Amino acid sequence: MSIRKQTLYNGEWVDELTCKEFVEWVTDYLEDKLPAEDGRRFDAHLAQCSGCPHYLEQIRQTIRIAGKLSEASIEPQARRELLRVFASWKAEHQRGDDPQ
Amino acid sequence: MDVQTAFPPDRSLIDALRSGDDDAFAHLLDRYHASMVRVATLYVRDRAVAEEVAQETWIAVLRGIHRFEGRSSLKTWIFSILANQAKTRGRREGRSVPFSALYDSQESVEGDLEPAVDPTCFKGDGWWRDDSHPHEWSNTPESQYLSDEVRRCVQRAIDALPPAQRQVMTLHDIEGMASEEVCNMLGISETNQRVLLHRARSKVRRALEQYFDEH
Ligand SMILES: [Zn+2]
Repeated sequence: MSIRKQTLYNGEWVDELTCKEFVEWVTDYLEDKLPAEDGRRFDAHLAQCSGCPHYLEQIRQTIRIAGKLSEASIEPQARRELLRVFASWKAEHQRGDDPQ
Repeated sequence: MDVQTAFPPDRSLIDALRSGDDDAFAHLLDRYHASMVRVATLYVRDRAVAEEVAQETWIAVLRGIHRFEGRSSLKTWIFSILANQAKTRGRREGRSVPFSALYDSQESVEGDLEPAVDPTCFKGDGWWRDDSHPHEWSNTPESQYLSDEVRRCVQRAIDALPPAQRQVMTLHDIEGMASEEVCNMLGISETNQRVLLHRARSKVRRALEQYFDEH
């Protein structure tokens, strides 16, 4: 293991992070699980690297697009069937076994 | 959680359901059914069966609604019924691997066998090589990444993930469940969940990168 370089960030010396390490920390960073010291190293790398900010943004976009997949809606046929199920459940209930 | 602000909509929905209000039921169907089918496919793998499981879940919801005490949110309650139904169904089909086995396998956290990025993208000092330097995917506005084609690319990449990674990414990033809910639903630790999520997102990012390079 070679000696880790230090880098000055916001007036403090922190151990330098490589890009290879950075990409493994991205999820912990986004989920807010990096310990404070590691968070500073992450931010320091983000400030001095020209590739990793794009990498981080790509991961954010990946998450955003995945989130859009939830917008699908129920098939009309399933919806009709289930509304029928509801109607018969209601009829059954109103015939008298309503626990309330 | 602030009970005052979080529960009134649930409570009025529950009351409306109990009194047989069609609109309330239709509203729940519109809000949750598609998600329920997607979550059910995590256990049964076949979309038609997942659709059946979701429908059976609604029947169970109606049967239980008078007993539901509102200790969890309505959504959490519905999805826990769904998970139970789907697991039972998966077991009966003999298709789904029991969860504990799934998470004990080497797919889980052991070692660092799966780097987020192909190691050949880095120079000896661990920084990006010039030819694999990440760049902006697109200068065009939001709409371009959100095209149907891009979404299909992401869906395909998620479908191709190993089961545990697919489950975690589907619940956390597609369904927007909090980590804690995902852990409860899958019976895994938070650390394990994060490792699985990390691997999943890294792979889906790679698939998107490839897509944007080609288009
Ligand atoms: Zn970097």
